[in-house]
Amino acid sequence: MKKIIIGLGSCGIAAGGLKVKEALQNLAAEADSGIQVSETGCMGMCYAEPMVEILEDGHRTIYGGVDEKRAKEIFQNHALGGKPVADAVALDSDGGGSEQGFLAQQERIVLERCGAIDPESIDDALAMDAYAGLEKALKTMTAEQVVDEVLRAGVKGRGGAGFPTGQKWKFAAGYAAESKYIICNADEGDPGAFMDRSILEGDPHSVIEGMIIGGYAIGAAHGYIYARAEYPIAIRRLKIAIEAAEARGFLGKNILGSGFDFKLVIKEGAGAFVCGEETALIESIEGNRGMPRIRPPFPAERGLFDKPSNINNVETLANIGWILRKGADAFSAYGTEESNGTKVFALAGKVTRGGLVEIPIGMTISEVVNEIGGGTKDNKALKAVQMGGPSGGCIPANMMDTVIDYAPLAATGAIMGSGGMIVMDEDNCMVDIARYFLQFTQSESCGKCTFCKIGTKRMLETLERITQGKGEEGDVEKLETLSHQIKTNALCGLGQTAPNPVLTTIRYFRNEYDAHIRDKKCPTKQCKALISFNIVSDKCVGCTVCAKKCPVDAVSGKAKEVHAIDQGKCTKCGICKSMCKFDAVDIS
Amino acid sequence: MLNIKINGKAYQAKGNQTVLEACKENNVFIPTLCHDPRLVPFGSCMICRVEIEGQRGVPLACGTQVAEGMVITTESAAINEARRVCLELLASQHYGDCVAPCVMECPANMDAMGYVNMIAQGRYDEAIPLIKKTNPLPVVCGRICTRPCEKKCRRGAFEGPVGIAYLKRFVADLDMEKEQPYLPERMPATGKKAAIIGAGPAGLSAAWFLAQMGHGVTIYERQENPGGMLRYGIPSYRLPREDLDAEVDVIRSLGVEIRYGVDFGRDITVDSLKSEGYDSILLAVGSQVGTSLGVEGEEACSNVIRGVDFLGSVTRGTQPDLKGKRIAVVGGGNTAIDCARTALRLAAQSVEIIYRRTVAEMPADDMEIEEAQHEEIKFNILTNPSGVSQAGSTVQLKLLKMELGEPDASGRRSPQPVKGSEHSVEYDYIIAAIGQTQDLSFVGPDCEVAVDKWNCLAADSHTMATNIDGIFAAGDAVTGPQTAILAIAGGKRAALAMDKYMLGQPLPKDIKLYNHVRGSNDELDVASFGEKEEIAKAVMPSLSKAERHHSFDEVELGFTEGQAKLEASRCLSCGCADVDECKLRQLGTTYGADQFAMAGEQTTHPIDESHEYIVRDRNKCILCGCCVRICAAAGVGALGFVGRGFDTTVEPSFSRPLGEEKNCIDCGLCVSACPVGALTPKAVAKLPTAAYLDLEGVQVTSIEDAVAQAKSN
Repeated sequence: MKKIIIGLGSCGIAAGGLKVKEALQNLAAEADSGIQVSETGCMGMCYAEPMVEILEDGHRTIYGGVDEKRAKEIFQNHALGGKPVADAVALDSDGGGSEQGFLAQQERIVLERCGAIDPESIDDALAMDAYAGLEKALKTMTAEQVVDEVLRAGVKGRGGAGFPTGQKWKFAAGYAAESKYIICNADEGDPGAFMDRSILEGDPHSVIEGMIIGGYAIGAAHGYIYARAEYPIAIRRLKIAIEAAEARGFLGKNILGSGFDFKLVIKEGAGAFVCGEETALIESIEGNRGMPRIRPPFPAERGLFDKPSNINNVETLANIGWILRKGADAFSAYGTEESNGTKVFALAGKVTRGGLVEIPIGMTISEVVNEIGGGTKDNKALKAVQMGGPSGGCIPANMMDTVIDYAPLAATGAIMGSGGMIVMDEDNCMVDIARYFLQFTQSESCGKCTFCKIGTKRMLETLERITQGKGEEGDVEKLETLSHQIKTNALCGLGQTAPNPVLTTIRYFRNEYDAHIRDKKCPTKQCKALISFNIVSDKCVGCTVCAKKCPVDAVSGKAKEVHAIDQGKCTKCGICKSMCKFDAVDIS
Repeated sequence: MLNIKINGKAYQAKGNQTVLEACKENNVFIPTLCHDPRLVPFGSCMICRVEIEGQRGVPLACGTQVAEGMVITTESAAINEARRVCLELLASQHYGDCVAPCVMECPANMDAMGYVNMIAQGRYDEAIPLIKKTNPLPVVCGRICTRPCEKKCRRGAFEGPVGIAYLKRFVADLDMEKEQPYLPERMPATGKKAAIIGAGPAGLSAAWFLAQMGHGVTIYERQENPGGMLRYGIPSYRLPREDLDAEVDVIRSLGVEIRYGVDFGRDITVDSLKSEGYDSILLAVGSQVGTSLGVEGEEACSNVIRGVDFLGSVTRGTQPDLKGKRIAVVGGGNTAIDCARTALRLAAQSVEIIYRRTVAEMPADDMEIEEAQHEEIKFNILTNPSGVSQAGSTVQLKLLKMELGEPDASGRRSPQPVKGSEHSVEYDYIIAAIGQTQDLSFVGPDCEVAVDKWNCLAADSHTMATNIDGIFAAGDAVTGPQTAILAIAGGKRAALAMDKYMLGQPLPKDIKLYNHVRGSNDELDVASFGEKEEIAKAVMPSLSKAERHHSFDEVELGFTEGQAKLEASRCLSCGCADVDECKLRQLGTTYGADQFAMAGEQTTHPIDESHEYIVRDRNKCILCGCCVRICAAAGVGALGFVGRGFDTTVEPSFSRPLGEEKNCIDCGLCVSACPVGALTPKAVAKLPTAAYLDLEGVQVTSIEDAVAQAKSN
């Protein structure tokens, strides 16, 4: 019995997976072969989407970069003919395929079922042990024992701050109240980060199971999943999963005959980044504008609707079922002395194999970027890796041996963060990178506290001046002083960490700041105000391509004559340079 | 009760108190902008940060509960630095003038915005006491002031500045028409006596304030009449003598004695005054010695007169007969203009002003120059005398043509002689109005006051104290020849210091208040004032050209009441209504905040005056959310936050004007909660409730009471 599975996470869909699925469905129907065509979530290899798997008697053959033409070939040769299309095989469960290197060093706890099951089928999930941890907890353990097991596993909050989850549960369990809440923070918002989305799209049951167990552990009968409305596929699959879980008795009254009741509701957020901050998230669920509250009191004491509440991130919760099922010891077999388990990263930027990776904590950045990710694209020199998004920092190339764990990363000035890992090469201007992240936090500031709403604005203005060649001596020191004030005095994590990208780029790439400020030059030729595009006359053959492609008609010149760029019109978009086959466009 | 430590000292606190409440109850000051005792802590301004032993970071005092044994630090270098930065950040996104520029610019800080608005509302009787709090000579200043206020008036960025001085004259003249013009209360007699040397504006001003403070005051005046340069330096067509005398009479009626014809240094001395029992002395002797032309041949010419001497002689009636004569006035200041216009009125055949730069560079008041031009006085600019010689009853004046070179230290382009341009012109009289200096012949063993390099008395700029204990100095004698209002201001500062001195108290300190400004009128965001109806600047009724010739009648006739009210209504009230209560200003002063330290982009919005009782000025909002929260707590919910990041604002429903907000019940709680001037009550329409906090922030009206009051209305 053959089954064709198409990867239809957001990445697969974006890469054209729906067309491939339609084509395969049509082929299967035409051939009347009885071959089932189904879908799965992201298995992490976003760079190789759309991916198509042929599953036969437990043997998996996975093809990458499949378009409709290739799909037809795969269908006819492999699905019907039984002969794999060898040159297109990315992975083979026998260990073959071109992309084994991507998976070789990964360990899958959170992503165990992602890419392996149809996320809309609870049976698929159950076949891979979904809810087994819940069953064990409800039937064989007390709430205290569950808390202890999670404590013993040593799992830390995967949303970024890294607070021990078991501790958090213990606090919330310790407050007596007639009602309590457990909340899943699915308001993933870091630029370049998509771990939570992929988990929810690929295996929603893992999160639901974690929440039910958490509810049992802290004594909460109500759960909220706060998910951003920009994740429609994740929300749809969550809804399907919740309905299925209710139908199977994993949610609702008297779950699995244990007497424990648990109701789960999805609250869609309107896309404010700050709602990822737990107290702002609570305000938002309550129907208020998402603005952080003063802490203490912490949510464990007084949270949602002033009741004791516990908030965990998607990835954290996705670990829980596994921990309960396999035990704390199995979990703590992964990781370092300080931190157990795995961490999922969204590997993006100038990296060859960008996608979702789950690694045991303790690997080095270099191993992730160079071995799993295949190094930088186009053999350009690696410059830095940005970790932790707008709250994180840039770690320079000479520190790639830094171990991926909370403390070593914090020592670099970056943070573990929620899992954004953006690779930067020699073409990235680090001042501009700092400006980019600060612009993000500034525009996402909730407007409540002085240091964040105005302080980050003033920092951003300084960075903008620097990238425009209007920087002055003392600007860097001014940035550092204001950074310190904001880190110390802002109300919430968003503001307190906003200066991190600026501080780390100053720390490791001070020379780039100085070049912008003193020489009015952008060493990487990225800052538009500091560069100009020019035709190199002895290379230009007058092919007219650049003149035709220029969107603002800034290039002039007759055919077979040397062209020229009108600097007054040029918007420095770089299209001429990218189109020129003769390397005749130079940036100075 | 809990035992806590604040700044190293032991205190007690109630168990349910926050750190902020516990400190307040124990009289330990913690600043806050966003906390209102009627509301739950919010955590927006971040200024109440304190340090608590054993706690990470810097917790907020407003949101932290006290606990047994808590050790709190409310002030440290780091905390104060953070507070200052916080205030500077808020200030960088705050757009407004704490104090109207007219008030800031006035040397006496006269509350022009205040009295102009009172005039607009017809509250003339209230305007005079306000005026006389800072200036006892409004009849005088309403006529002859150089009006620095009007140069900075915000309305100047529209059709033209408000005629502040003319309005002052209008209301001051009204007061003088009364049988008993306004007299302030005198405080009980102190038994102390002050002697003032000189009955000019500085001396008169000091006398006015000293008398009010209960001190005995005697002015000694060398001339036969009061006023100093007001009388002997300003022509009567600008300041009629009866008006000056009437105003001086008011000062005298407060108990000030003036003795005339007494020459300090000769008739009386410091020693003689001391022996007469005076407890302090003010030297307000003025600056009345004209400067010479400084050209060859001047000493031998009897027909070269100095400007101040000429004006003085006209006042005394001892001037030379100028009828039919050709007059040249040398100089470009107000004295030169006064001399020229006076000569014209003495029936001179021709009057010509000789000035080495152009009209644009003339230091004289623009209005004075215009009047002189209107009266057809000839301006012989870019010309400078180089020599003079008497030729019988006439003089030959040697003149050089000049051209403007590079700017000099004063920023003005310095005139350079044009080679070979020397020529001679015949005049009957030359009036040298080049400048003045001070007659300090009294300085000597009896009176060893320090004199500075400009031949001025050296005095502390704030207390006006000289180097000699008990001797103060003010007016032109300290500043050199300056304006009346500057002398009046100096006189008041001297009086305040002399009061303290005579009572044996420390002299007043110069406290630098935080004053936020909108910047110059050139960079003013005119749109932020909202729609303003154009109202042409009022024109002062005045004598015709023909009526002015040969007459010393007052040229300017004064506003009608209708004119005054309309002109006063042009005031934009640009100064902040919340200036005395604004917490941002108070804390800015306390922590030495610099408005421009964190300068950057500012977002501005038109002031919203659509509500019947409330003015809403988002330019001043610090987003503390007090209004939003108290409105919600009142069950009204008319206000909310809109937008994100730096562009966040507080708005009524759908960002419509507040006047269109259907939910608003006019309770005024938002106004009471606003720590700055973003929500203020309208001056003319009083809110129907009394939902205000008093100055100490003590709750006077609860949310419930305000809502109940509003609903019963």
